[in-house]
Amino acid sequence: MAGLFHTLNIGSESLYATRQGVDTAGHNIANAQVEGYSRQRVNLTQRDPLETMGILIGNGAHVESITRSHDNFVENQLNKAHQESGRASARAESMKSIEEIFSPDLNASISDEATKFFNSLQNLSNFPADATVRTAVVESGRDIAAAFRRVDGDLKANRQGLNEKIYDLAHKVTDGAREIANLNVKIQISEAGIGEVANDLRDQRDKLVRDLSQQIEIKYYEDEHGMLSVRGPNQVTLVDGGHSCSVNLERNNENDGLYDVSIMDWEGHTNRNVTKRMDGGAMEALLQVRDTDAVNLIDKNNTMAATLIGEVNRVHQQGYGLGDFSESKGRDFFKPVESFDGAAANFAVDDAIAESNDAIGAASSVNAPGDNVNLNRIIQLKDKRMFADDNVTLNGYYSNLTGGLGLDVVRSEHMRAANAVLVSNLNQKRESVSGVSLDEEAANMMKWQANFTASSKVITTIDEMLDTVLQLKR
Amino acid sequence: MRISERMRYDIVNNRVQDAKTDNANAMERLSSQKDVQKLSDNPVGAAQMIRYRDDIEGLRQYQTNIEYSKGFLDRSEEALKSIADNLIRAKELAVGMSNDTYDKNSRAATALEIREIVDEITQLANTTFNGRYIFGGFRNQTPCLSLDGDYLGDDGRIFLEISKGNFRPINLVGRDIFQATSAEQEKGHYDMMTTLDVLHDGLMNSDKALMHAALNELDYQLEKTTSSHAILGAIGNSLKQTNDRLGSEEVLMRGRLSKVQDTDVYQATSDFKRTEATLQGTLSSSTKLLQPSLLNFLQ
Repeated sequence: MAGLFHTLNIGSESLYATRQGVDTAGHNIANAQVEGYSRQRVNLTQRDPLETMGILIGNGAHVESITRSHDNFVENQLNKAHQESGRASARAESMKSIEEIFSPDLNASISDEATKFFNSLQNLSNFPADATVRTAVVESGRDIAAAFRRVDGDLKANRQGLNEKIYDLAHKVTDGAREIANLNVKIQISEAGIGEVANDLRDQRDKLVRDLSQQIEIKYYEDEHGMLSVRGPNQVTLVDGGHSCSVNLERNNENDGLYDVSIMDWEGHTNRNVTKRMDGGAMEALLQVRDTDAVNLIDKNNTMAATLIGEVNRVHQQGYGLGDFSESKGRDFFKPVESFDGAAANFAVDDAIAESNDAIGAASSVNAPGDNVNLNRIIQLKDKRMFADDNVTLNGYYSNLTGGLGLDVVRSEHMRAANAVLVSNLNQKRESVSGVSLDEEAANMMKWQANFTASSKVITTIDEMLDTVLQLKR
Repeated sequence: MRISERMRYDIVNNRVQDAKTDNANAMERLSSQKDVQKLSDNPVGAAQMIRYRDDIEGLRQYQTNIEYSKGFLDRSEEALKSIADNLIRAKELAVGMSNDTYDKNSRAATALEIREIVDEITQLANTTFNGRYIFGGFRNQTPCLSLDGDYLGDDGRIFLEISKGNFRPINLVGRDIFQATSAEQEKGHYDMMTTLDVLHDGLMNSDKALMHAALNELDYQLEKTTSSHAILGAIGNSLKQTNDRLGSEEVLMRGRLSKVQDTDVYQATSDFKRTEATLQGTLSSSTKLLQPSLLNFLQ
């Protein structure tokens, strides 16, 4: 049989529940601007009724659980989109810095310097014996050499820069994996036994997974203990329960000493090289630009340099010079290079030419200071189709190269923008489910406050009733 | 749709950023007056620009070459014309002196004048342009005609590129003018200077046969000189035409370059105004979106 104290209990439990409501509203408001936070809800449930004298009497309400508003489906979509957007934005950013090397605004571009070089030869063709004009030819030869070296150097520096980024990223992935493993343990401990869901810890873990999915290819699933297993590139395990891998970097001497990425398990047993096995995330884009795009450009620059050096030298060797060199030929104009590799890096005017501009082989006959026949032969190289299987000229090759690079940059920028829109839409979807609305929380607070006041009224009423009961004895 | 707090700020943030980016891009185009600053602004255009710029520089160089050639040709023409004048003068003297009314003394005096003409022609043959002996072929740092009338130059023909892939000779080789080829010698022709020497000797010795032979040969030399002169004229004409064509090509090419590279100012200005209005609209609506909250009404 229920007495007054029973009613007092209903009142106090209601007081507790409504306070919990205000608590949760406060918690929500406090976290309104926290990234990755999911709003929480207090779920009140009726207590089972009590049978008294054949009647079922209500037993008040109690807090059954506090849950977070969370949509796993959107979360998965978002992480998939992050894989793409992480890759696209890293690629766009990296390509942009490469683009600057070939910017048409730079006056010292290879094409401009080539034009100047051939024009200086034209001037020399007008005045083959003029020492000043000869010096100008040597200078413009140095300029075009410097332009090739600059592009080569900038591209290599760019690869080094990307390498540094890969280094940072690898550490971020290692840290992220470790934190996920730590949270796995915390979540397991918090949830064990009580059957409750550790909302805030899970929010944190979701956020870490979201960050990680931008950085590297991942797949994940949750086991029956609430622990998240994460697999990385090539199905290598990144996180398993409370364990996490470390992402290692090793310098690869076959790739200019740049880093190879490998993943080592927590026991240090296996160390798998995944450099070429990425599929998604910023890591893939950085590796791709470093090892494919930049390398292609370096190769093309070397091809241009080696071909130009070879052709100019081949023709120049037929020419006689002035003064001491007026009866000798067979000299190179540029320092000869043995292979395509490093042709641009070692591009320089030949020592003999640098020492004396009389060595320039302008003439086709001995002792003929006015002879410009060989110069005209060199000049013709400008319009000679000597690149891409003798299909394009130097300038055509360069403009095709820059045009192609420009299109690549535009494509990567489009990809970035498209993925950004997708991610932003999904984020809006996620926010619309999980985000905190202050208006809503304000309304909730009013609701709980009114309820709290009413509940306390129940208690004071019971108190007065108890007084009445106690006075019965007097 | 539920709108959360972070959504409101994110929406405002994104919209303002977008509007600002558009506005900054329009501003950049307007202030730099360039449509293509990065390859990615217009990759195809950037590649075209590289070709156009190279073409324009090439055209300018061809015009420089022609300018130089013109000087060279003008100088050659002047020299040839004076040589022809001198030959005509020599011929006039020879014709006059072959008349029997002149005696030995006056012929000897005229011989001296012929000597003068020889010196004159030697000097003209050694005319220089920018320090180069114009009739010397490639050996043009040293005089091409000796005082004895021997040709010291070589047969080098100086070619200059006057339009893409088009190399033209700009010099006359002295040998063709001053020296008789072996075929000519077989026909009994002399070198130019020898002809004058023969005339000189004929006058000096009052040898009418020699004078007569020299007179016939002078006609031949004059013909050779004037036909060389005609060659120069033809080259000069062709250079002039090419130069005019290069000039209009350059204008055309600059037009094309500008079309790709330069901003359409009216378009850019209207773009700028439009993006500015968008930005201001976004900003003013943003403050409206961020302000209201139920909390403001709870007192």
